[in-house]
Amino acid sequence: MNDIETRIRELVNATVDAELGPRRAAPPFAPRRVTKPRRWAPWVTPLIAAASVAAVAVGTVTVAHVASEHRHAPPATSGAPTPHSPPPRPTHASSPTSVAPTPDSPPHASSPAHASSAPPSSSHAGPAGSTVVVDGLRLVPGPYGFLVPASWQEAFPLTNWGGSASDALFSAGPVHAPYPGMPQTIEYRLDGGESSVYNRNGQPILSSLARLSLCPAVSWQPISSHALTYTCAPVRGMVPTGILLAEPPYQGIKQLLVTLPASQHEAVTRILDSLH
Amino acid sequence: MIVGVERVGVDFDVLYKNYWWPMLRLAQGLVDDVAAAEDVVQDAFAALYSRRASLREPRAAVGYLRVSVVNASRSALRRRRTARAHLSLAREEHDAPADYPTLLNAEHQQVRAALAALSDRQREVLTLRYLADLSDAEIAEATGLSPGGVRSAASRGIAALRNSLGGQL
Repeated sequence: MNDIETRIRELVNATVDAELGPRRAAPPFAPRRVTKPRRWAPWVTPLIAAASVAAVAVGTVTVAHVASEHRHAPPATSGAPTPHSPPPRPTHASSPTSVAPTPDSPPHASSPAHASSAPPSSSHAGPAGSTVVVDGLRLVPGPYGFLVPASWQEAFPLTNWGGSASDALFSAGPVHAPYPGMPQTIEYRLDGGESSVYNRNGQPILSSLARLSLCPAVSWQPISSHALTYTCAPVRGMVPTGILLAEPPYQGIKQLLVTLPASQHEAVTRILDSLH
Repeated sequence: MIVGVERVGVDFDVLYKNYWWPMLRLAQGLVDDVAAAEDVVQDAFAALYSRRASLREPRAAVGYLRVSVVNASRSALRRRRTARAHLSLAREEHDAPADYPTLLNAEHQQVRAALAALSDRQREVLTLRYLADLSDAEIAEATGLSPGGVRSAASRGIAALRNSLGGQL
């Protein structure tokens, strides 16, 4: 190395030392991600982020939908009631387990026993996830979560006519007033405003719940601590049969009233069973 | 006795302690920016850290570090040039601080200007030769040049510096 190189070496080292200052100890080492050259265009990252958000949203909706359908899914066999089915149709007032509703009737004395022996609320919410054929009727999942005969039409969708309740009606043919209780119909009511059926602890009072029946109930029968079935006076030989479900306070009361010939008793049971 | 990866491979802590400053000087010579040089060195050690188990000899580890510093410095210079070409704000960020002239005396400023006038290859070769005291073979290994290319770049770089620095030599 000649003198010029030695001088250049000195100058370069002195310059760098002047720029860096006195020698410092190494700072604490914190391993971090090694930055690698970007391999995609700058718009790809936001696109991936947006796609991820969309995928999560779609996945959530799908899972919720599938879970909901699973909850409604019927047993594999059709036509036969499930082991957890509620009592098919309420019997008339002469039945030992039936209660004739009176304005002052207290909560049904046998309710606790029925409640304890009755299936949980979700279990009497029966098949609504797929088609079943019962009593010659092909029942398919309807728009509100319960089964309806496939050949029937929705006379009117869930409609609020005033007040706190909304109603929907399915029928085998043209409908005419008065309904409910019209033969060959299914009426669905969703009532969000009835707080009078709960006690101070938020538990349903079944005798009060029974007064909300779509037609004047001649008998009703508890099937759980928050649900009952009822029957009304026969119309053209058909006994309107309904089910009333009280959700927790302020979450609504649902009921379904099915009027079919006695020969289609099993279909009535399946339809009522599918409400939840 | 359980022999861990660290014991079999390179003692990273010792390496970091001993070579952080030399690598910082090397990076500073290449990128002429203290903050950028620190980033370059940090990235080089981070890369080494992730490969520490596979490096068996300290010498190989130092060579790996050196190559990392050179490559990262090239990337830093490339990014800086791109930014300067497209962003006026970036030019302001990378401008010398206001007190730069008072921090470096005239001689150092002249040396820095002379180094900046060299081609990247010449500057790399001379920096590795004078700041890291590497042989031509080691420079060739660190830069990816052939030994002949290293000698050629060094010769031309020295000639250019001789012209630039003239009176100081």
